[in-house]
Amino acid sequence: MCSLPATAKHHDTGSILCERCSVLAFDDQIFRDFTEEDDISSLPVFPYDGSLLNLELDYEHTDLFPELPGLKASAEAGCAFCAALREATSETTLPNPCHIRFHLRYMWSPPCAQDFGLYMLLANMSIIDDEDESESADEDKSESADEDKSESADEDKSESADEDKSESEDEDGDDDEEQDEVIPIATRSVAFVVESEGKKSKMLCPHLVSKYPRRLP
Amino acid sequence: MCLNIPGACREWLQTLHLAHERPLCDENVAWILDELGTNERIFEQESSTGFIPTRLLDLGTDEADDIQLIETSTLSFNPKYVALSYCWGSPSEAAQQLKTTSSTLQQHYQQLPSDGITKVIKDAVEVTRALSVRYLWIDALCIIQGDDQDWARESQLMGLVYSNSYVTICSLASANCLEGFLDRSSPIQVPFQSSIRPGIAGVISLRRQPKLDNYNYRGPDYSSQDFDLLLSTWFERAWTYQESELSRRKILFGRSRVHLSLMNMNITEADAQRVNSPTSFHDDLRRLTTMGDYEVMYDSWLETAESYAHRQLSDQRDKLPAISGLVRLLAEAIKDDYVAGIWQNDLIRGLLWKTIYRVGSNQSEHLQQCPLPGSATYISPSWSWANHTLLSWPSLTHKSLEDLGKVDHREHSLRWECKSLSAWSRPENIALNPYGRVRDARIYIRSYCMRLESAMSPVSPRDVGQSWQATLQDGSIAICDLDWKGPKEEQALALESVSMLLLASSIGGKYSKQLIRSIQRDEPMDISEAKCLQPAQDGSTSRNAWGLLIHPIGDDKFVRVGRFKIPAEVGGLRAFQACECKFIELL
Repeated sequence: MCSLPATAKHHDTGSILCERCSVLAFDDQIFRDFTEEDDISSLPVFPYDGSLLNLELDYEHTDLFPELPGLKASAEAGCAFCAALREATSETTLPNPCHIRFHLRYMWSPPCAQDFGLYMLLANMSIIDDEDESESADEDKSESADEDKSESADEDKSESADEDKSESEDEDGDDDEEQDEVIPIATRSVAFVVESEGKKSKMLCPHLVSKYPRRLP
Repeated sequence: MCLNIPGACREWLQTLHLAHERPLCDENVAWILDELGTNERIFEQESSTGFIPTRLLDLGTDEADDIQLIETSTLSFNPKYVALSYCWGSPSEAAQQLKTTSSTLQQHYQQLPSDGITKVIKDAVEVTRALSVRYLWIDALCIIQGDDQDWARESQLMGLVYSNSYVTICSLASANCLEGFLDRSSPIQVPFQSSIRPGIAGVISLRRQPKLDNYNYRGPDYSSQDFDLLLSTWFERAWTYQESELSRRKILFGRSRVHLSLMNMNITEADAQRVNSPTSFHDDLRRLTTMGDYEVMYDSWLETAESYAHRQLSDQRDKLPAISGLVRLLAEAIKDDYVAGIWQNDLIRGLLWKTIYRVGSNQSEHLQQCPLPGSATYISPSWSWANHTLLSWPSLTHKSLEDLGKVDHREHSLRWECKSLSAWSRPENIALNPYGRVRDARIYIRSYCMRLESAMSPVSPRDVGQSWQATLQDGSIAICDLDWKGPKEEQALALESVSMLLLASSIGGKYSKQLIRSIQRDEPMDISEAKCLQPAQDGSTSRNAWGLLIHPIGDDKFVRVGRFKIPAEVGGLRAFQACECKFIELL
């Protein structure tokens, strides 16, 4: 897939983003069912079941490492996210050259940050060495393959019983039958932690600044 | 309708607070000073040793003041000082760093040349001044570089330098001495408009974290502090290990945030949470003095060795010196002798490590690479973990079953099975740093020893670091862990001239039944025989055998090439009953 033309689009607030990256604007529509219409003050109630909520974005971009011409053109046209993604990818150790397929997802309340909601944007890179990589690559399927890999990697680490192992072998078996023709040879991730301005907590309080004015010993 | 209510967006989406634009902004400085002040009393109670580093940088009392190196013996008071923990970088990067040498010492006593100061040191000076502290300790400037005597003496004092610093600056965001840690990149700002509550709108900021090269898929497991810490070069380096472990209070300057680690509390910039940190080296020391439980310290040391072994060094010969500051403090507390990374009074457990990352694809290659005393690449003897990068220790304790907690499933009642066992080491410079580099170290053992004749097959399930099983003449099954890679799985492996040297025995163990099951499954030939053996029950007294695999290098001298265990259920000590006792010298 070729890179999309970087259509610079300036929002009222925020960085300049291209059309492709405009999907970064988070849509809270999925929480509609979990909030009371009249209750202005309530936060979205996410039925936390211990599993991570991945909010897949409608974003797919394939580029050629190391130059990454698609991201480069868009970054030069002003897109801040394409620039950041390109910079992060350039710092990654990868076979040279190779095709990289990028997917994005927001993560809601991951295990490391259960006190938070919208915590992280994860850019997943699938490294594919296949030159004529087709459009047929089904996003959902490649995603589920990713997760399976993650699980079996965790199993490798644990001093797991043989029962576990046979289960994972079964899963792998099913997987092979469903797998797409384009199988990533490796994967990498870049994380962007989500921040926003909010109520001042203790460490943001201006009164501390007057209590501790800059002074030399 | 789009009302941009400040804070509404954060409350609605429950994101992290926006970090400050600059790490050393007035708000952060005030916050750091407030936290240090709150913590001051406990800190002073714990760190009142009166130790002062030999030399310090005097930053003066005004920002325009010159910086000079001073000898603290000239001071009439105990100076409050900040220590810096940072990465030097590659040899070429480190070469560009301003250092104190015997030729620049007198000049530095007058004034540090301002044009030679690298970015990381500039930033450390800025932070120290912002904290209103006058004195700063930086190894490159406070130790005379290139002076072996000064270096050896000061490197073993490093533990005390960091233990007694007012606070330690940890430069997570800088990978080498040329990079600063006070530059923070701007986040990407993305507008948000709620489609459920039209009144909620604002901007969210996306702040890039370090790459996840070696941590595929682990992103979701990482908190913002983990990103800053675990993926930093600072966290990978060997020297920074003891600097971090021994510092009671740390300011960690990460790429995205500033973090405070104050005794047992971790706090992150613009984050209201206070997280209790795991127990520190100093906590373990306190437990030793209050409870008198020495095994706590030995356990703590094994954990230290495991976390430290994979840290990276520019010069591998610094493997033992880079942790010698911590070792010195430990040696004073437990009053034990230290031989090439292992404590005399915990020798058995210290010898039974298993290496997970192995080099050398076969036995002869491994033996060729095995450094012998006198060679230029000698770091430690073959029996020390210090030659390896990824280790694991068996779960063994000398304590009896009655003394173990209910949740403690370690193999217990560990005891010697050898007739005699002693170890010595010859440090490179015993007067200046007895815990630093070693020239030679040996172990003398009189114990039961037998040749390992049978071919081995891989143990299933595969875990990290392949184990091998060998069926001995009497039908016992030994689980062997080699110090080299070995062939790819599914192949049989025959060792040349390797003997099994019995060291110790233990009772019980959580995983042994599972392992036995898998051994039996893998090798149906042995099932009938193994079934005849009594499986270990709780309260059983049958013992697992533990020992080393050794290879001769001439004149009753041997090197370690692996370790073995024979679980009680598949033979235990039985195979050694008919064995003769030999005197072995291990290099």
